[in-house]
Amino acid sequence: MNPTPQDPLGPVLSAWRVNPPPDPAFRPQVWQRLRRTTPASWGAYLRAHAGAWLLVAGVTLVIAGWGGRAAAAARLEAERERRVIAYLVELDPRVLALTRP
Amino acid sequence: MKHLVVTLAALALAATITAGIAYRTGSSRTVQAALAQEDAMEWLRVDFGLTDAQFAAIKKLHDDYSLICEEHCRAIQDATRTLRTLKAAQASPADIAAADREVQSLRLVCESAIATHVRRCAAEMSPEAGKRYLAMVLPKIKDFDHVAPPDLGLHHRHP
Repeated sequence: MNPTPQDPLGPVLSAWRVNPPPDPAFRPQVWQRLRRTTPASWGAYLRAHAGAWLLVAGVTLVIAGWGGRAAAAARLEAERERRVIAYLVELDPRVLALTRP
Repeated sequence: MKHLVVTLAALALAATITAGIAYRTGSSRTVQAALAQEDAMEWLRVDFGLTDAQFAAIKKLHDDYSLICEEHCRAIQDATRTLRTLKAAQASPADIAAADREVQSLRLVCESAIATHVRRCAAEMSPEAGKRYLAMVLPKIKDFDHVAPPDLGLHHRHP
C-alpha cells in the first residue's frame, strides 16, 4: 500500500497542517464528561442536594422528637391514671365492701 | 438511586435515635420511678412535689381517714348483706326497697366522705398541685363504686 512516486496524495498530506481554533471550554468539558461516567461519592451526592436534604432532615427530626415526647407523655399519663385508680380503690369503702370477703 | 436509599436509611436511623432520646427524656424519671413503686404515698410525694411537712400532714389525713373508711366499709357490707338476705328470703318489696335505699344512702355518704377527704389533702398541697390533684381524683370518685379494676392487686390495710 505504499504510495507510488507519482501519487500526489503523499506531498499533499505532508504539507497539510491542522490549526483548530483554541476552545477554552475543552478541558472543563472533558472533566465534566469524565465525572458523568464515574459514580459520585455519597458525600458529593449530599453536597449536591444539601438544601433539599437539610430541609427533609430537619422536618423529620423535629417530628421524631415531638413523637417521642408525645409517646413518653402518653405513657406517663396512662401509668398515672392506673395509679389514681389504685389510690382511690384504697380510699373507697364502696369498692372495699365489694372486694372484701 | 443508591445514594437516595442510603440517605433515607441514615435519616430513618437518626429519626429513630432522636425519638428514642425524646421518649427517654420526655417525662420525669422520678415520677416514673414513683409510679413504678406501687406506693400511693410515694407517688403523691413525688408527683405533687410535697414537702416533708405536707407529706406528713397528708399521711396523717390518710391514716385518720382509714378509720372512717373502715366504718363505712363495714356499714356497706352489713347493709348489702341485709339486702341480699331479704331478697333471698323473698321479703316484701317495701322491705327490699328500704334496704336498697339504705345501701344507696351509705354509698352517698361514702362518696361525700371521700370527696371531703381528698379536698383536705389538696388543701395541704401547694395551690397548683392541689388543683391538679383534685382535677385528677375528683371526677373519678362519683362513679367509682361499682367494681374494682381486676388487675390492681388490692392490698388495702386498715389499722
